Formats: sequence, C-alpha cells, structure tokens
Amino acid sequence: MAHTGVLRPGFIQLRVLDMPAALEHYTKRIGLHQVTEGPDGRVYLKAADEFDHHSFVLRRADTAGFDVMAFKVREESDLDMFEKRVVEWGYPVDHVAAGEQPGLGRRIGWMLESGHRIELYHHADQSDPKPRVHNPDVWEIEPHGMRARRFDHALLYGPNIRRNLDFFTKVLDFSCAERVDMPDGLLAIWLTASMKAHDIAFVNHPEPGKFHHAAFELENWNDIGHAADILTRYDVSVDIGPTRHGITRGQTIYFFDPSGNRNEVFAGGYSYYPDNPTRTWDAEQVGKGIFYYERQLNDAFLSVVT
Amino acid sequence: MALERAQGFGQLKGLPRKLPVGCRRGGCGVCRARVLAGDYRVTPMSRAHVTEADEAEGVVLACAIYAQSDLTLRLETPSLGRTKGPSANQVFG
Repeated sequence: MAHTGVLRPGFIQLRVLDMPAALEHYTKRIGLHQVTEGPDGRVYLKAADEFDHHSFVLRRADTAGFDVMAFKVREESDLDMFEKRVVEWGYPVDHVAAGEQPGLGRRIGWMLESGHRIELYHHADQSDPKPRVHNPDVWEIEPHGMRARRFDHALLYGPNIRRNLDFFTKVLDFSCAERVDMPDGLLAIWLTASMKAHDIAFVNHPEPGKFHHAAFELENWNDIGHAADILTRYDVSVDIGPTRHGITRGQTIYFFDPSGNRNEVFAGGYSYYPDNPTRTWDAEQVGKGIFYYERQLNDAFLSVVT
Repeated sequence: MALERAQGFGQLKGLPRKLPVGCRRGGCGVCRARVLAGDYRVTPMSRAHVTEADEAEGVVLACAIYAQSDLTLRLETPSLGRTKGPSANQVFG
C-alpha cells in the first residue's frame, strides 16, 4: 500500500463553556451525530460519513480552546516506531490507556514546542451512523444541518513553528504543501500526511497552545452556500465568507461556536502528492493567499484565537 | 441585547471608540473591558481572559454583557498593542 504511517486527523478535543449550547451547534447546525457521553462528561461526536467511533470531542471547562489533536496510524506497530522517533527527536512521550476515550485503543502523546499536545493511535471501533460498505447508498440517513462529511483539519497558533515544520516532516513523515514567509521569518505552514492539501497547519504566534479553527469538510461549493444560509438563519457569529483560500484553494466560511472557538466549513482544495513541491507565499501576496476574493487579511485572522 | 451586538445593529451612538469585535461568544478576549459604572448581567466568559477576581472587580468581555442601565466602560483589550499587518514576530499584549 502506498499510504503508510500517519493516515489522517483522527480526532480533536476542544474545551467549551456551555455544553448544551455546544451540542446544539455541533449536532444541529454543523450536522454531526452524538455517539456517546463519557463518565467524565466529555461528549463524543462524529460525521455520518466517517466509519470510526468519533472524530470530535467536547470537554466542558471554564476556558475555550484546544486540548489535543490526534492522528490515526496505519498499523499498531507504527505506534512503537513513532514513539522511538519522537523520543529520539527529544520530546518526552507519554501513554494513554485504551478506553480513556470510548472506542479508542492505546494512544501515545507529547507536547510540541508551539504548546500543543499531539497524539497518535491505531485502533478505533466503528460506530453508527456510518457508511454501508456492500451496495452502499450515497448516505444511510439523510445529511442534516451543514451536512459535514468529516472532521478535516485544524489550524493552531503558537511559537516555534519552524521547529514544528522540522518535527512533522522529519519525524512524522508529513510534507509541507504551502508556507508563508515574511521578511522577518516564517509566518505559517500547511502540513499534510495524505493527498489533502492540509491535515494540520500552524501560524506563528507569541502565545503557546492557541487554537484558530477546526474544519469540517463539505461536499461542494453549493453546500458552502447552504451552510451560509444556516449561519444567518440561526444567528451564528460569522468571521468571514463564503470565500476561497488561495492557499489550498479551498472554498470556505469561518464562524464561531457558542464558546468562541472558530470553525470552518471547507470544500474542494487540490490533491497533494508527496513529490509535489512546496508552494510559497510572500508578504505582498499573503492576503490573497488567505482570503482569495478579498485579497487581504481581516483583523480577526491574526488576533482572534481561543 | 449583548453590547457588541447592539453596536453591530448601530444602536450604540457616539462612542469615543468602537468596541473591538472578535468571536462575539465570550471565548477570545479581544473585547475585554472594565465596567466603571452601571448595571449589567453576563453570559459565560472564558476564565483565560476574565478570572473570578476580575469579574468581581467589574472586568467583562463586552460581547458577553447585557446592559441593565447606562454603562461607563474602559477597554482593557489585549490587542491594543498589536502591530499592524502580519509579521512573523507579532507583538501581543
């Protein structure tokens, strides 16, 4: 098989201030399904087009923001291989027992120098709803809300992203699909482990561990328009869009959940092959890179994070 | 109506300075302010930006307060020192 090692983003865990409001947002508006609630109150969500147990975890807390993002690896033995490589790189690795999140096997985790916790795991039970695999219909149950098909990627803000670039490419075998270089240094990187234009991205930011957005994949530009209708109908706080990114070419809307965590709905984007060169952007064109139609950044892009 | 929202609808006239607008949902902290006078009620605000001690002193996120009388506010936003435009060495705070 061609695709080995890290397969894809498996799940992200975010903190929310008000769980009932968050659940209404993520299930009714975004269109996810609640799989289960754990004994500690964390709630596990998924899109109906995903096979695995869950891809989005909400934890009630007094602050909004990012707890952890985890990637699924192809083989159980990959966990031991990556643990060795992460430790050799110099980051202490800890172990999370199977079942700490329902439906998931053991995980390994460590802290990036940007202040973000990253984990890897291999085993996930499947859960309903999920696609049928024999004579499958295009869906088993009618998509609802924004018709999210999967948790797609996240953009995280923190310091030392040049170290993150080296770590993800040299230790986890990611590729850098695109980057933005300012006269005073590296501003942003888009990293992929797959044929998607990005699986995770980072923007340089003085405060560690910050969260910019988690993105859900929609089927097409028409569904982005449908999502925009829902945002207005339900008075959801919108950041920008519908618009398009020059970087990744994805069609997009940025908006906020009821705790101020930014979400994105994302459609399209090019296919990335690991032999493709890195696309680069400079200070003069970065506005077009981030928001292709506006051709400039909005105030919130660099300053509004949780 | 929450304060930021009232501004969005053009209902706050003659402010000396526009209220900063971020997530509008009590999470990001860019609209942090101190209420110097007046009554209000609050919806949940991230403790990363308004601690319990802050809240007792009248520190709020403008997007998360509902005025119940005339209010006097002083902005205490973390973004006032931000440099203009993108930079790899952004100033914060």
